Amino acid sequence: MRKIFLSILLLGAAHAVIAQSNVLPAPAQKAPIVIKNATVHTGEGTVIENATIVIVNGKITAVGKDVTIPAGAEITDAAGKHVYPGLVLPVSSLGLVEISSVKASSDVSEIGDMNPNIRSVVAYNSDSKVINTLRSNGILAANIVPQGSFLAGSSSVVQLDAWNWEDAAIEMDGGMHLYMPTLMPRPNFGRFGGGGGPNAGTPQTDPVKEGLEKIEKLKSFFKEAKAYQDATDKKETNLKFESVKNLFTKKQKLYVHANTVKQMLIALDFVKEFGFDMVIVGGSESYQIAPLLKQNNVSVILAQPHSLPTGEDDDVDQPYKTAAALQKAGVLFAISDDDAQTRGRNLAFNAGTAAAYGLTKEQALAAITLNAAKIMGASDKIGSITVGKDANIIISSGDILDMRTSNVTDAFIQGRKINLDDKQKQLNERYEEKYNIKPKKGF
Amino acid sequence: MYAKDTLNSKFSFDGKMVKLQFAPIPKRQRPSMPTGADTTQRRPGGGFPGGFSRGGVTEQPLPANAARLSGVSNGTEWNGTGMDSLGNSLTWTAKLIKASEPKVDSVKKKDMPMVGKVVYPFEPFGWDESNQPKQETILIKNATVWTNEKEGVLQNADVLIKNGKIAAVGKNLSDATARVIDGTGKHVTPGIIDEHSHIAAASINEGAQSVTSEVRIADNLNPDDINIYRQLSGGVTTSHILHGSANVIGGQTQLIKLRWGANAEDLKFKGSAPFIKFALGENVKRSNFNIPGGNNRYPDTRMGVEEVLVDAFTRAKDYKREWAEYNTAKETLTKEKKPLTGLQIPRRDLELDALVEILDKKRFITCHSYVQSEINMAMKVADQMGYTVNTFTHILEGYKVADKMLKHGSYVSTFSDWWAYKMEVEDAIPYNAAIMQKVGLTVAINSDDAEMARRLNQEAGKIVKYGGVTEEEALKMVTLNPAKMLHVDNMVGSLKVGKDGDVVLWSDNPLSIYAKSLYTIVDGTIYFDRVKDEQLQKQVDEEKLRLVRKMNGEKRSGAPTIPAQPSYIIMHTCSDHGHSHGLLVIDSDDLEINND
Repeated sequence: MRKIFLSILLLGAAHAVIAQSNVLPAPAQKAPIVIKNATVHTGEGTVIENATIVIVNGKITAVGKDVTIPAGAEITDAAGKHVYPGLVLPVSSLGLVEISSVKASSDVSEIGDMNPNIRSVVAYNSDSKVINTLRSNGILAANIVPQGSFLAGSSSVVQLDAWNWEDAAIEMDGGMHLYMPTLMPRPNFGRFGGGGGPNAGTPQTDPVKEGLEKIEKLKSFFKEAKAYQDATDKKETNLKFESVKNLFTKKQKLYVHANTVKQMLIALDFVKEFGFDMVIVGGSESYQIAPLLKQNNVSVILAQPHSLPTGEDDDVDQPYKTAAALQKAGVLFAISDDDAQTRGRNLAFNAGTAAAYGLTKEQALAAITLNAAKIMGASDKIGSITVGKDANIIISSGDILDMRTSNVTDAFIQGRKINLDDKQKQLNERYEEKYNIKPKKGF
Repeated sequence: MYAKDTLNSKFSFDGKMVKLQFAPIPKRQRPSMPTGADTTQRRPGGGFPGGFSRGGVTEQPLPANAARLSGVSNGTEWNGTGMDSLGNSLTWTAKLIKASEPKVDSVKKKDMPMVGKVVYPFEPFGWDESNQPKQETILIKNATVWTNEKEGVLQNADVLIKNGKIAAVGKNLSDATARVIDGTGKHVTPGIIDEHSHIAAASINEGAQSVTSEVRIADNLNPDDINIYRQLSGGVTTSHILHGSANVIGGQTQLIKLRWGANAEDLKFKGSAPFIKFALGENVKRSNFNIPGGNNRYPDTRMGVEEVLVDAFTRAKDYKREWAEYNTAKETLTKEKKPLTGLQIPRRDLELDALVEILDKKRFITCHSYVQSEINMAMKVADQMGYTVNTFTHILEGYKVADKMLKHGSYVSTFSDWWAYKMEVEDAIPYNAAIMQKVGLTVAINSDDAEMARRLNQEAGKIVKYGGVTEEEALKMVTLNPAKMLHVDNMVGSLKVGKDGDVVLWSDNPLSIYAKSLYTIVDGTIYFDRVKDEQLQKQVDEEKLRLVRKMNGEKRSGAPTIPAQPSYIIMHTCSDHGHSHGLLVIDSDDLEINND
């Protein structure tokens, strides 16, 4: 079966039209699928050796050592390989930005400070060429997040094998995104950072005061929104008030993009005042207030462990160690890959670094699977290899957290075996052909 | 004289115009008697509020709350107007009676304030004289040794470093004087070499015109850059510091060794070949920069970029010929013992001198480039003008013209997996390095990024993942191969007896995400030691606490304060991509209107 599949794939590649337009979303699962002899990393912190996974109608129906194989099942032998839940990218501009420097290809940031009624999902381009490069590294779901200057709108979770955004969406509008003012003075640098320059001498407004005023206005907005929702007779419909109603019912979470202690403390104030479910995104200084975050049930998405330390006097490896500090304090946290040059494809390696600096490998895996799904409110469907969940599963020939061994050979989304080809693999083949350097054996 | 050190106030004097500004004085420190009161410690000599102390003596005292004075000097008498802190205007006159001798403060001897240790560089993680890294004899025992030589990877082998050089590589080595490091279960490699870096430079772009071959990174190295230390922690020992990509011919580069704590001169990699940075494409066209009214500097297209190159080298060749003709004529006249009076010496041109060095094969090019059309063009111009493009750097579409670059005789240096951040990298693929290597090119993986530079070993690991090159070949992409293209492979890049003692001991396979540098050694000197780093961190924290306490103490004793401000760090990059440098880093490009 596998042989037949490979030859079909090769045939497809030979006729490849560059730009992956021949990579079709996979049809719904028909026959039961069985993955056997696998080392299964469940995403819940456990590893099961020699395990079997059964997938029926897109769902995981059995996981374990002692599992009955249903009749007529398509069998994938994963002997010697590692099986993981599909990785989840918790913060991404995927599908909203194609080429970041080309303005026409960017739909990520709307004009205006107060855009709670903006919805990312409607601009998600399911044909973005970036998507397939992420699948090739095991990422099968992503949280599509709008950017902005203040209250930027809602995010939705998508699975990465779809004809359009409607098919892609698995959790709509689950997050409301607030970009916290920096609350930090920024010097009026002139040209070359010296005096001079067009802004030199311009009196600087106090950014802390300005930021706090903005926050106060936002609080008034939420108070009004609450009053609006509680009102029985509404004369006018207010779209902005309407759009935040799920924050109050906790069907939606408030994602606060913040890095400094000061920003996060102000965010905590929101939890106390409005009782929102809160997620900190960024969190580079979160290790300094981890117990407070735990105490207030605030979760954290570390935007990118592969970063430089904030200050010159910070621990050289602090960004690598922050995840372990959160783990120790019991904070629910996920790891993201915000890198603009690689577009999220190194998610697993950011988690790998956290494993090198204090997490166990299974904790690091949870940070890019189950924890991310929990934070996004999608853990009923994705994030772990658990009976009843969608069959979002990847198979790698080695440890997925290490670039030295990571090599995704198979991937299933909702039980559909997806085509792992991408534009870059196609260009590779094209030039291997040109120079006659195709690998002689193997695939 | 009227030197600043005689005044506690802000003082400016240009020989004619005088300006004085007084900081507000806390009430309790204002003089009760404005004249002759020599008792206040803060103002031992004079009667001026705010501390106009030892220089001149006033005819009439100033109000205690004088805030700002300006005036004109007539030699020994100053006259002017001013304003007190309530906004009332006043006039003032000062006469010189006599220059006072600096007096010993008779009131009381202040205790010498506790000062921090002087560390090199004067930065967190700098070393003081008690723990200065010194060249040592080092013997690493029983490790997996990646030699990058024909011996390949040796198991359970030893490496001896002596007098700053690799003294021996093999089994069962011994040296009675050596500091022995147990390498069991660990890996030894040559130090990482970054072909494309912008750390440790005070500025990197001279973007006012398209050809600035005369400017030199060597003239503005910044040895205090914390990223030197951070990159040592990632096993980097040598970095090629380049200009940005503001213009087609950017300037002369500098190869450095990461000798943390050395001064600018001692950072330089002695005996390295001279290089120059060229750039093509979107950055020199300034396609992605927010210039009011759009780009107004030639070139604006890749067509124009070719012309800038052709024009520059045409001028260089004319210049070279002019000098050759002059030198021949001079030689003939000298030989014939005729006077040189009629002979015109050509005007020396520093810009063209550097280009002539390229034509004479004394200076090598590293050329920032992305798409196949411009790569091809750069080689055609080089062929036409009679030089070679030594290195194509970035070169994300290099795989499309790998055969042509091989024929031209170029080396290539690229990123592992960057793409889709600007139009010219739309077709970038992570298989690029492997394709170019299989075609026969010598390939390096570079950083261009202060963060990624400390994980270059893992970036090399990705080439195994994506392109299926062997682990040994991948490691060479961040060690021996960059050494070759920088023409320093006779000194660094492999573990060969006689080469520089630039060595890293890794906790794991160096291509793995789990690998950490335990020791980074440059010239036989341990500049990064993971255990010592923890101690340094403790010292940094203690020093920080001491300074905070000191400031609090000053504040309590009434010293003027200013609100705390974050210290931003300005960082230079190739200006066309985002970075993960943290909150306090400002990209130098965000500061400049003429974005480079």
